[in-house]
Amino acid sequence: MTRNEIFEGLNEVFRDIFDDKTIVVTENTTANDIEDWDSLEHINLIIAVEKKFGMKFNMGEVTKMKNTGEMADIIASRI
Amino acid sequence: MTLISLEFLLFFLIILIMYYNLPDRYRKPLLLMVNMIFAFINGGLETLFFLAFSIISTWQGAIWIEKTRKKSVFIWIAAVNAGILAGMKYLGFISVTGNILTSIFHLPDRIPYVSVPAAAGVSFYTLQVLGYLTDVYWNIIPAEHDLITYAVYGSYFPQLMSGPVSRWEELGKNLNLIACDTGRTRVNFEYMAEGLQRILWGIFKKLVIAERLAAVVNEVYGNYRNYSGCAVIFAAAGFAFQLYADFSGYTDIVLGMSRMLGIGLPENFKAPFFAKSIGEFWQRWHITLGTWLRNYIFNPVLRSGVFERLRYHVNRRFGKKSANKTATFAGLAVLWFLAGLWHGGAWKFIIGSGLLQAFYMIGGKLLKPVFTKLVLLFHIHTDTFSYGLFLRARTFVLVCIGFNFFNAESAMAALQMLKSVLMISSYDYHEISYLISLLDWKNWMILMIALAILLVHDGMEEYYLQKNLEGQNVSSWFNRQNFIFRMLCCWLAVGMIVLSFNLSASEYIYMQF
Repeated sequence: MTRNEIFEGLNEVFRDIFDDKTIVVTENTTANDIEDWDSLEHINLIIAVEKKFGMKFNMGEVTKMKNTGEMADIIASRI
Repeated sequence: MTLISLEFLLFFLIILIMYYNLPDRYRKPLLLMVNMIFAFINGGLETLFFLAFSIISTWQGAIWIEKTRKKSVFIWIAAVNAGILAGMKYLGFISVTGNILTSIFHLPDRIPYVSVPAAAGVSFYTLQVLGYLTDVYWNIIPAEHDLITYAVYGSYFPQLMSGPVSRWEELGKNLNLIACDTGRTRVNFEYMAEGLQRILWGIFKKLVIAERLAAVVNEVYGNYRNYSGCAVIFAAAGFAFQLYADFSGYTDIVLGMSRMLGIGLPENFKAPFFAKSIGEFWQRWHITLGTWLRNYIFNPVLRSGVFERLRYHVNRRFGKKSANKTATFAGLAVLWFLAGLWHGGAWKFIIGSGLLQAFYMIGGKLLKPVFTKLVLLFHIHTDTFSYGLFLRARTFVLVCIGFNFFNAESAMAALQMLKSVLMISSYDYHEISYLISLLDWKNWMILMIALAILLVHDGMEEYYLQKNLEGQNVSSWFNRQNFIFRMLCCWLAVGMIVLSFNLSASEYIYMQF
């Protein structure tokens, strides 16, 4: 899976979770850039991403991930 | 030995002199010895025993976990340590609650009352060592093989009694920086000055603000049956500021002392009364406890098998959105129940510092579409000062209701006080005059000036938080000012502290946990 395909998949998940069809995530997107992305929604997002890509983040990654670029790196290393 | 007693300040001065005169390699053993003396003075031999047990069991356990990666080792060691905490704090509560239930259901057998004296600081150091053990199990950090370094981390004296609850990455790594094998580190005067300023600010909050407010607050909470709703509102708002000045003042002293030792600790408060929602408030109040609960309770619970099944069933019936919401709300209920329980085995804590907060947050999420519609309907400009003020006032009122449970003698007393607030026709405004007369005009003037200084300080902190400027905060702003201005501020604080010496300094509120 190419990096572009990973980001396409992430866009789909983000739009679905945050109910916003306009979201486009990039390498540097963080929780500050998306209004509803708080610590409560973060875990729902993680679970949805795991389902979408058929992989699992470990708990350390869940708490330490800084932006969607890092998320894409972990996904790329697991699939 | 409270942090603002003369004997503790002398104790700390002796430690500081020894710390900077010993070769670096003796610093950690010195700190460990000091930690143990401090634990013994505050809690006796049983505290020393349980503290040593927690430290050694989690240190050895983490090494085993790193080697074997066995889940069973992690679960056993975590369960034993959590069990000790639960046994010390909740056996009495379970007996009392059990007996209430047996009397409600007319059961013949009574549960004998069992209570175990709690080790000093057990609620704080247990969370710290359990957090470390979990981080090793999750492979976030490697296990620390040096027992002395780990023991200093688990029992670090400034934070032993009331936090902050530090993660290994926040404190443990700093401990490794203070001890090199050779040489002696010179005193860092920048750290010393910053530490002293922070300690002074903490003492100022405790003695000048919290102790004065206590006079009014204690009168109403101690005799709540004699007061109407207006006095309750007055005291509840006063208690919110008293608790903030008390607990954040304590944290300032802890962080200041640690700074003087060259050891960084995490912040525990960030201008909490400027929060615009309950969720935001809890990201600014007792931050380290909130972070601990989110990392080690909320996140794992939401990813657990039980919650996966819950999502699956709700998803099948009501769709994906409802499944996510249900899981989040159930997770919030678990998190806040445990947060309340952590404060103590009493319903007033479980409700006020626990379930009520979950109710607020779930309600806020559910009502968000309604609020959005109302804002559109009434053409409210949300980017204005007045709207921000409204949100902050709303959050403050909700927080005060929770704190009312926290400070009342029981959950029933808190409910009775809330009931009196609702009976507006019974308000007796003469009570306010009486409460004001509990302090003379000089004390009120000092209190008002001090509260204004606190609000300006937090307002500036809020400004820096909103601007999100790297490394910029009130402390860095203060240190950029001219020497004369800084000295004037410090002497003003000292003067106001000296004028507060006649007030008896009571124990810190969070020492009870």
